[in-house]
Amino acid sequence: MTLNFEHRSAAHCEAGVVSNLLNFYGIQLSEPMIFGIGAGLYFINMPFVPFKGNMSKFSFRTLPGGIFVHAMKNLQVKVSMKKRFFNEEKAMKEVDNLLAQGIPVGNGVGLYFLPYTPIRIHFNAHHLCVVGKEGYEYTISDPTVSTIQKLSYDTLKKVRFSKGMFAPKGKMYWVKEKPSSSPDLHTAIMNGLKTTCKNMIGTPIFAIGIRGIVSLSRQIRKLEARYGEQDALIFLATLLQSMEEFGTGGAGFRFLYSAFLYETAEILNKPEFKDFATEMNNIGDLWRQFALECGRKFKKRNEESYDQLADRLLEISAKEKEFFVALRKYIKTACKK
Amino acid sequence: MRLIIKESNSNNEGQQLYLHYDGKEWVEKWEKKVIAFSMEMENHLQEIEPIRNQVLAGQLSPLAYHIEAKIFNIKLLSSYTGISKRHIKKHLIPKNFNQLDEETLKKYAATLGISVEELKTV
Repeated sequence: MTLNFEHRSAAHCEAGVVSNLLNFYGIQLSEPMIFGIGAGLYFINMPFVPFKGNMSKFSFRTLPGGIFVHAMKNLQVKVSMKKRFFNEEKAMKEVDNLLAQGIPVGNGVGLYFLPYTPIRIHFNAHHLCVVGKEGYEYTISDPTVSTIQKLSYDTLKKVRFSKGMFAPKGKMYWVKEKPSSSPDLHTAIMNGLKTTCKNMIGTPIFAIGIRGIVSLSRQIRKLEARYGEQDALIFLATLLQSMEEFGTGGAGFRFLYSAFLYETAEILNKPEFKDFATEMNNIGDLWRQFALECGRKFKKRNEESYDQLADRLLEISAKEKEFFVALRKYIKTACKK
Repeated sequence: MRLIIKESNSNNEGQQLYLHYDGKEWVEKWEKKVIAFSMEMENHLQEIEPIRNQVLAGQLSPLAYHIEAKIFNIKLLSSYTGISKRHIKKHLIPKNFNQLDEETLKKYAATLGISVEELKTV
C-alpha cells in the first residue's frame, strides 16, 4: 500500500519533509517558507566539541526537530512526536500502524547506511518521510533525492537506530488532525521572524548567534598557534563542509532565508521585505566568499593569512548585527496587525 | 532538486532567487557528486596504506584495517555491535583475532558491511 504522496525535492531535508507533509494535507507552502516560519536560522560554534571527524561542531541551524516543532506550532497544526524508543521492533510496528491509517510518518535517520547516497559520514540529523509499505519493503520520500526510493525492513531499522552523536533513537513525527487549509500566515511569519531575531542577537551566551561568529573569528586568529599547521587546515575544512555541503542551500542557509523574506513580501504585501531579502543575499555572498578563501587556504592556492580570514568574519558579523537589529525594529513598528 | 543560485546583479526587481533544476541537469550533478565521493574514498584508501602494510607484517589484525577503511572508529563500532571498547582493542592484536568465534566475526562483518571472509583478509 502506498499513499498518494507528492514527492518534491528540496535543499534542506527537514524543511523539505515538513513542506511535503503539509502539502499532503492541503497546505501549500514552499520549503523556504517552512524554514523561515520554523525559525531555522541559527549559528553555534560549540567550543567543547572536538572538530576532528565531527560535523556537529559548527551548526548553522537549530537542533534537529526544531524546525518541525516551531513551524507546526506557529501554523497551529496539531502534531505528535515520539522522541525515543527502547525497543526497535516496537518502533517499526508503530510506523506500520500509522501507515495503515493512511498517515505519512516523518523519521529522523542517520546518513551512513542509506544505500542510495554515495556519502559515507556518520551524520545523524537527516530526515525522511515513510509513505508506504509492501511486504517487507518500505517506500520512502527523501527530499534530497529526486525520486521516491525503496528500503527494506532491516535497512530502515538500522538507519533509524544509527549510533553516534545526536543518535536519532527511532524518532518519529506525524500530523495528528487534519488542519484547516488556510492558516493564519501573518502571525505565523511574525512569530518565526521574532524567534530568529531573538536567537541571533538576543542570546547572552558567547557561542550563539552574532557573538558566536565573533568568537569564531577570535578562534581562527589563534588557530595555527594552538593546533599546528595540519590540524588548523582540517578545522577550516570542517567549517566549510558544514557551511556549504550538507543541504544548506549555500552559504549556511543565508540564501534560503533571503528566499523566505522575498516570498514574505509577496504574501503579506509589504515591499520593504524585498530590501531585507536583497541585503540577506549580499550577506550570503560574503559568507560564500569566505568559504572560497577557506577552500583556497586548504588547497594552498593564492592563500590569505588567518588574520585576513578572521577579519572577513568580523565584517560579516557586523553586517548581520545591523541587519537583524533593523529587522527587529521593522517588525515592532510596522507589522502590527 | 532545487538549487539556490543568485543571478548576476542585473535588476533588483523580480530577482530570481530560486532556480529549478530537474531532469538531465540533476542527473549530471548527482553523477558528479558520486564521482567526487568515490575519488575521496580512493584518496582515503591510499592514506591508510601504512596500516595495511602493518597488517601484512603481522603487527595488527585485519580488523584494524577494515575499521579505518570503512571510516569507523572503536567507539562507534562498540555501540553498534555491543562489544566493549576494551575487547575491540584486544581484537586488534593478530593473536587474539585468530582465536575469535564465528558469532563475533559475524557481528563485526554485518556492521562493517562485508562478508566474514573479507574481514579475515586485507
